[in-house]
Amino acid sequence: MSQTIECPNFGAVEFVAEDVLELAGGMPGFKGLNRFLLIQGEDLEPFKFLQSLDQPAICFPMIDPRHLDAGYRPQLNTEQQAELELADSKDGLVFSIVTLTEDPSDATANLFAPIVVNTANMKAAQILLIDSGYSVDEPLLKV
Amino acid sequence: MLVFTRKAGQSLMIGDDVEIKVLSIGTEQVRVGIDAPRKIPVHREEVYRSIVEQNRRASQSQLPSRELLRRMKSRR
Repeated sequence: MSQTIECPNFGAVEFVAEDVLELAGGMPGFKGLNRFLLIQGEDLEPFKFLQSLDQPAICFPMIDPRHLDAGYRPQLNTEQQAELELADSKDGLVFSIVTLTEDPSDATANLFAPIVVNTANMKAAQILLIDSGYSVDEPLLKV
Repeated sequence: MLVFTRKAGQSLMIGDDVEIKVLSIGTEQVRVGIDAPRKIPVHREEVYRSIVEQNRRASQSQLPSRELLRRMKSRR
C-alpha cells in the first residue's frame, strides 16, 4: 500500500514501505530523524536527494562521490559493516551530502562523512571516515 | 557538569564498560585514553561538531540551479 508525503522541494511524493531507508543511528545534528526516501528529482542529474519522512522540511542533496574523486572507496570498520549488515564495504551504495547555496561556485560535498546504503535491506548510516584525510566541504566545481 | 581531579594514570569509569584514562599531562595538553565497546563511536568533539554544522548547512540547501547542473555536465 502506498503512502504520500508532501515535501517542499518535490511536492507530493508517493512511496511504499520497501522504499524507506532506515538510518537507525540518525545523522549528527539530526539524531531523531531515522526514516528517509532516496529521491531522484526530475532533470536534476547527477544529484539525488535524501528526503526525511519524519520531518518533510529536511532534505539533503547528495551526489556520487566519484564525481569528485574517481578512486573514492570508503573502508567501513567491522562495527559499521555489522550495523548495515554488509558483508563487504564495497557492497554498499555510497553518497556524499552536498551543500548548495546561491553561488554554484560555493557548492561543496562532504567526502569525510558519506551516507552508505545497503540496498538489500535498506539500512543506511552516515559514516565518519576518521583519519581519511577527506574534508567535510570539498568544492564541487574545482577551479 | 561533573568535575573530577585526576592524576596521570588515573581513570574514570562511565557505566560498566567505558573507561577514560589520563595517560600523561603536559604543559598545554593532556593525553587521554578511552576504552569503550566499538559500538560506541568516540570522536574528537570538533570533528563531530564539524559534521553537525555541515549537515545543518546541507539541509538548508537550495535545489541545484541550472547553472550548477550545466557546469557539472561540462566537467565530464
